[in-house]
Amino acid sequence: MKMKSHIYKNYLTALAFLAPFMILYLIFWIYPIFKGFLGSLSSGTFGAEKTFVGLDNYRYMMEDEKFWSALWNTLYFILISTPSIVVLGLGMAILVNMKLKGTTILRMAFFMPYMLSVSVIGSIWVFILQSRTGLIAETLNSFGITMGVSFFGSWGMGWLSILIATLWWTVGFNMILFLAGLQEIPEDLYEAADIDGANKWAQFRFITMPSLKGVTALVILLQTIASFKLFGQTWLITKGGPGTSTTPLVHYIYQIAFRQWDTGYASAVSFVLFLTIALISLAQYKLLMGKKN
Amino acid sequence: MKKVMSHFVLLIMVVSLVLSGCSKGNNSAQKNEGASNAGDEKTANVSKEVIELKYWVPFSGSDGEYMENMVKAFNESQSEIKVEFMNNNWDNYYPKLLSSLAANSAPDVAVAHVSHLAELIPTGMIQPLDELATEAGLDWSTYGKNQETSVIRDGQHIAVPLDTHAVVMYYNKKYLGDAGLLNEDGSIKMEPGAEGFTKMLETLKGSLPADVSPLIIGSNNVFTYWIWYALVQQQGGTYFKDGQPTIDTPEGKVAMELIKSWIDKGLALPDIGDNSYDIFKTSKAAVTFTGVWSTGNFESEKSLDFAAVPFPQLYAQPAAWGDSHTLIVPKQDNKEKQVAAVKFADWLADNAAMWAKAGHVPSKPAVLESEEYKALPYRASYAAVMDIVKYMPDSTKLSAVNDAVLESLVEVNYGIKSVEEGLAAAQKNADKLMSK
Repeated sequence: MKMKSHIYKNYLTALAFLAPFMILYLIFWIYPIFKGFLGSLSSGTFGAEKTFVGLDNYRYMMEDEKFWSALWNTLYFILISTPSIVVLGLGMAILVNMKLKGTTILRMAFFMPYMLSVSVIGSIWVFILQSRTGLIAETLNSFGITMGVSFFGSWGMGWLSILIATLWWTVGFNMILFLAGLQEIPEDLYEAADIDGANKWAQFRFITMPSLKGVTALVILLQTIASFKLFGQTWLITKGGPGTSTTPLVHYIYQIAFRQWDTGYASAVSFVLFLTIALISLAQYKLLMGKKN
Repeated sequence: MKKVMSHFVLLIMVVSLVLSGCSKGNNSAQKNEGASNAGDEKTANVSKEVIELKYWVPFSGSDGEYMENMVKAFNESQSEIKVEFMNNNWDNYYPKLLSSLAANSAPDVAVAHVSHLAELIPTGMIQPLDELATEAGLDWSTYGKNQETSVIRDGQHIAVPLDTHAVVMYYNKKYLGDAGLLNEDGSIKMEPGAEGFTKMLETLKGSLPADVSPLIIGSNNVFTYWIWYALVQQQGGTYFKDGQPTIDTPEGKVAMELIKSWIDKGLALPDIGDNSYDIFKTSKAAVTFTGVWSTGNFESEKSLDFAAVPFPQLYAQPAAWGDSHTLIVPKQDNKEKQVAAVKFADWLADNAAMWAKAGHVPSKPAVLESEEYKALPYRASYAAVMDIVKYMPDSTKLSAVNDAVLESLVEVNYGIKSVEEGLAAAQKNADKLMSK
């Protein structure tokens, strides 16, 4: 009996300490997700009475070409952005981790763009890339060359522009993660390898890479989730165009909610996005972390 | 025992912290929370109490400054009403305004485009103004007919029109003069119709330096849609008919083929967005179709010698794309504030010569006749556009359909789709949006 009340007290203590977080978490995370799902079962313009329509929004989604193209665009962006951010982030981390002159400045320079807001990033890259009056176009023009490509004019170029802007903006953060990982690796491993006559490539391949497995998994996971949530860059730089070619899912959700005023359908697409992210994150976590054991 | 007590106290503290946050919302469900409350109770006792109004505007561009000055002037002009000005970011103004209306936390008075009224009405929070207008001494006949009609819904005025802003034509007088395309009075020498206009551009191309484009338009942004819309209206075509979008029409094709032909012939540049303003401003283009709000921007460039005229008539009848800034009064219990809001709106329209500095055309003909307005350079020469503006149709889906149409028109400009394919796709997407 005494034992039981002791356990009970323990739970109560734990609960009291958890409560501040738990209550906020329930109100601002769990409740909105639940409410969002309920909303996805309704129809009606924003601000007016809603009617319950069951799964109609989800049925509409299956036949909505723009939804599928937005989903494909999002997946495409993940496919191009994740590998490039891993390779570039790792490369930069190795560079600034070398004991060379000026690496502190480089470290700062690489990280600096990450501190800017997306609206600044958008303006900067429009300023650089736009035709005729852009930095590249004007520079070429002063040498008598006309810029033959249009950075926002097609599906491929549009995504390339978004990719460049995103890399420039966020690679610094991933570099810091890799850098932390690099500095965790004990020096004596490299010393031992040196004594055994291993060259630099072998050291990288058999010491650095395996040691960075955890960090790489983390970067891939974070980058995948961030890419799923891509919005600001497309909204500001390409405005989703030409046509719908650079419209990713979150961008489309914004259009549905705040241009079409269809909050029910926007909730439905958001919910599908949420499930997709949850599933992919879970799979990645299992795949990448599972290998460790 | 002591321990249990302390747990209990801790829990109480946490719970009360969270609940206190909710209490405000519970007992004021039906009131307009955001409307300023100062003076509510005191007005009964003290008749000279100042009425405070919260006023929202979406002028994050350069017009914000002009509006702020007007509010200041209004506050200084009398002592009964004090307006508190709040400028909002244009990009998310309507999500914000609409949410505030839906959540009963709207300001006392706010700017809304006439094209967005249909989206705001379903909240049931837009106050019909006729009764308030009588009390406030607002006379609807002092407003331009086209502008006044545009704010009537179900036989009631629901907003006070402040201005008209349209897409008009600006041209570089030096370039056109050099090409021999100016008449004595400074107007453009060209034959009537679309052919005449295109021929004028071709003549221009012959005499312009290689890096100057005869025409510049936002060929990958909303200007393409606005110009297309105007050209359709000029042919007597429709955008919506009986509440349904009519995009893929013979008039629509003719209009889009004309725009595309300018790009194909090298008379206008492809792949141009918001930098169309800069290109005209820096004399890298001779003619532009753009919004009246760029007048202030263009006149700040001393090296630019330009003129501004209404959108040219290229087909059977004159027409231009345009919209109006209007003032809406959200519903609330305090009628005194609503009357004050209407008085304020009418004052703004009366004194819109100040607002015209931002480029917009005032909604009251009397203002257009005033010396103050006439003294402003450029503005008076395109004021006539207010009579030919064809306002967009009233629909909660208007923004959605506009976006869908724009997507396709831009694809046509980039050569991704043909005119036929583009309009067919736009029609299909618009129909789908309406069916939801």
